[in-house]
Amino acid sequence: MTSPAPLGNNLKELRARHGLTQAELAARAGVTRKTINTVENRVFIPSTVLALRLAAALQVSVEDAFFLDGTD
Amino acid sequence: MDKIEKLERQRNRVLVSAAISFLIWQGATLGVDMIDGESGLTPAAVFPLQLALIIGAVAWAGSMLFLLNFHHKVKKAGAGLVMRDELFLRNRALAIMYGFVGMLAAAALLLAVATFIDFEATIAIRFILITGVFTPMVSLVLLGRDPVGQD
Repeated sequence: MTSPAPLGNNLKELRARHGLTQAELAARAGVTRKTINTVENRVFIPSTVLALRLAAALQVSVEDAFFLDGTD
Repeated sequence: MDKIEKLERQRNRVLVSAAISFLIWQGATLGVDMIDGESGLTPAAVFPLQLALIIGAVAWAGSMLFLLNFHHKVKKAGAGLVMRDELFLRNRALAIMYGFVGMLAAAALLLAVATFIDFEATIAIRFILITGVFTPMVSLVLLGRDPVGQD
């Protein structure tokens, strides 16, 4: 099994706060639900552009949505 | 299930059907080549191979029609950008790389086999081609699976 990506995230918690499903967040960010799923599960590291888009879709700063492992 | 999920599933089905039909079509052609050559395979095996060749070729043509239909549906839904999002582009690049590695492995295997058995260049080229087409298609489908369930 591959080790998780070094970029952690709070997407699941932020989604729950907004009452959004993965599909709804995906629609807001203009990506597929699988992309949200793989980012949340730290299988896929998003680009800066996508990270900013996800943060904007969740109405938080990118630092609130993403963090480097061990710095949260 | 939303329209994007449906389109993703359809893309996977098209890829799997194209990969399998190509494998049957070109695999059977490879078999016929081996019978025609000096591989030692008997002509009795020609009929099932020719049948598989025809079925595979027809299925491949059908898959290409499904692919055209799929592109039409994506265009109609205005989902082109979402369907080619960052994750898909990453997976596609990985799948192409796996195909390239597969072709190198196939070439290395054929080189090793050529030490013991003589075969025509056409057979080797077709074997490498099958690997190069089949591997990325199947890899792309496998890479696109969810790591865990959705919510």
